[in-house]
Amino acid sequence: MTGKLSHSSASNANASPTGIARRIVGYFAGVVGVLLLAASAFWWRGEAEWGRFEPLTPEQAFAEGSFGLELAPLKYILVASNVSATALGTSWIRRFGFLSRKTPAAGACEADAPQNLPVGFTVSNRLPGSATPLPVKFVGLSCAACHAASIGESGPILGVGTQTADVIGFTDAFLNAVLDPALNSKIILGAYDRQCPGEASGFRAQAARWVEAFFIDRWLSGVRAQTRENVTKYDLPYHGAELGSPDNIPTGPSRTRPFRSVVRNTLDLPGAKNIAYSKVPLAAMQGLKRWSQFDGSIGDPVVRSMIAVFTSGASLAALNEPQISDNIVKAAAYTLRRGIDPPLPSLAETFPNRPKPSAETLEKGHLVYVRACDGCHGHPNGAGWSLPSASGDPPSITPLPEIGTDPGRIIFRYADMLPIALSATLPAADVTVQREALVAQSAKAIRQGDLAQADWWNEAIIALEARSREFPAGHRRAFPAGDVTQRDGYQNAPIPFIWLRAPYLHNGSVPTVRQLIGLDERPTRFCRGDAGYDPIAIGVIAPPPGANGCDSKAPFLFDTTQPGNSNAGHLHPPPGTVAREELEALLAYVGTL
Amino acid sequence: MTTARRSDPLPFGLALLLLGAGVVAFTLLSLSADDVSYARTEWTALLSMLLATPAVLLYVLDRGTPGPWWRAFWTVGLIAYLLHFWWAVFRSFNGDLGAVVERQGWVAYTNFAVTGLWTLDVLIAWVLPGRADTLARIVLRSVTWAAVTASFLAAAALFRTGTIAQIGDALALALVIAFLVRVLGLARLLAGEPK
Repeated sequence: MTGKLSHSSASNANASPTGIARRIVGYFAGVVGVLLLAASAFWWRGEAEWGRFEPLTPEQAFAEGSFGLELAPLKYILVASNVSATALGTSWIRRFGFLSRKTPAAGACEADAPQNLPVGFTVSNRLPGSATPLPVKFVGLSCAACHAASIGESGPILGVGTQTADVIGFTDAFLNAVLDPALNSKIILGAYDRQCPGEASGFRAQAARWVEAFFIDRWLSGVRAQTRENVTKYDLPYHGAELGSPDNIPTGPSRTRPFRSVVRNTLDLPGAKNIAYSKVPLAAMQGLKRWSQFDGSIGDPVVRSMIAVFTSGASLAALNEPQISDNIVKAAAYTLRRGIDPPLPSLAETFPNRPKPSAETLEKGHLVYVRACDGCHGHPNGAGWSLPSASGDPPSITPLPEIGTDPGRIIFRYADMLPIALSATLPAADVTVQREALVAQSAKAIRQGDLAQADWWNEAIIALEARSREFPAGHRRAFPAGDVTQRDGYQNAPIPFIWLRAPYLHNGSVPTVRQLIGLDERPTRFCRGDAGYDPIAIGVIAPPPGANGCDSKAPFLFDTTQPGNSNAGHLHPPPGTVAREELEALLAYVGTL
Repeated sequence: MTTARRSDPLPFGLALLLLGAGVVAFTLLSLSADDVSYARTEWTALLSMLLATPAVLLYVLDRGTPGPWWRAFWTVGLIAYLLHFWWAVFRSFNGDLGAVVERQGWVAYTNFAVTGLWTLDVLIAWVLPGRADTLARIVLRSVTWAAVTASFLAAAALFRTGTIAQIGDALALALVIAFLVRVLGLARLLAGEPK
């Protein structure tokens, strides 16, 4: 009725003033509509270009790939020491132990990036959080931010666990910086223009600047909202001198709290009491064992890398991006081969002035190794490694009561929930098996009288269905539940390049091999930071605290009497069973591994 | 009637404006979403439903051949639906039609059928407007209307919760009212009452 009236009257009305106005409005509306559609299409084309898939090599992916861990706009990072000096300090790269790329010729402008950023800080056009491509450059973290170390005079060695970076301290300082009420795009871009004058001249550059300002403000607004939303679960971030206090941030340099993150990200439960402190491990030679992690809990290298990225803050949407998903696969492949191809430097190559042990000493040390270590850790075999448990599946685990090391990484609240919950976080194409696993967990909780946990599992089923709608073809990084499992102890893993694994034990509570094998007493309290490497004792230099605590070179006080920090256990060779001279030979021998 | 359809730019102009505004809005607003691709898949479906709703209702209300307003909104609703189809297939399902079928079963075929029917219906409405009253055309138009409307109602009111379900409920209510208006108008006509 309405339609007929409209068009039947239109022909008569076309010539009238009303008809002319109608035509003008009609054409104008149509043209504007088409322009809006064209602008949208132009934007989508841009997204395809900004997020263009680039097949990286495994090493490139590991060192420079985007993993959905974008932090902030590049221009903000380049001026952060200036505009966020209160929160970050004037030299945040050094303060938080990140590695310089050792390219002093690089300037401080966008064109010089990433050479003017720390190792592992990469540049992409991806929006923090969703990883959506944008016409603005952002800085994110790659594997190398945590898995690279500079030892002796060497430049950064990829794949080695950081010995200096305080990632959690940096995160709190960074959150403080972006919550600064005075910070906005005008401040950031103004500081950048003073640092790199002349870049914003011309119409195109000015138009790009408007877009950039818009997205910087949107990013600030988003990260602030997210931080505020999380604050009841994560608490307010620490700032200033608080950042270095182990009472506030107990991890310090070279350690993280991976399970606090998993509990928060996966279970959406508080993780503040979680004391599973872990050193950042050597991410090399991973192909020597089937199961990874200190407790041998993850059976697939890609799943291991994906979980590492997820616990570092990547969203599910980001992990499903083709480029990011591919980078994870490549980075995982890199960890399998790193150490063989490309090789890692030996202790002797890195410290050529270190006294070379005699062949006799090495042979003696080898014999001690065979007696005291080989039964669990195996031994070198050509370019590979022979383990007592040849298949490695399931991995050889030394139960916690037997190994006696800190239990915080094995025993913590919700540890039993994590394997199933993690596998059900990323929906498969067919979620039947995942749903059944969650239903079984709910039933089990009810049988145990844990009704709150049963409710949690029921909610997890609803969340799984919702995520299944979000990823109807299945999440690219979905994995079977059997790839992650709970263990009751620590894995007897191969230990090639033991000199690159310092500090020792899973929680980094023993600074040197010399202390680990009982040649020196394991220190109860020591200072960690960037005090250097000791090639004689094989490990990090960790001076004892002075009367005024730790100094600026190694500012973090590591107290092994605190929960999660125990340096007990793994008493191998057992004290008193091996002569001191033989222990010295063992030290010399393991320095060659 | 045909001349009028060609010469009156207002219905399609306004419909295009609404489509353009909607597309720009979902493109930019989705940048704040946790999952941009998913948000765009959802929001294009919603945009399609909102834009096609006037045409769906006009079809019920109009006793004769649907006019230019119907065609305008029927067309932009289809364009938004095709955007939804593209995002769903090429982003959510990674371009794998087999995965769509595996996931949705027979529903996938009905979705493909709706897409094909609707596209054909709109093409004919523009290319062969003079044959609007042939039996084949009436049948195609009726079947397409029924398929699209059922698809909207099922997708929104039945299978979803929250705001989308409420919009689906609103569409269902509007349809009932439109049918009542049509039936009452028909009854008055049969009774010989003036319009």
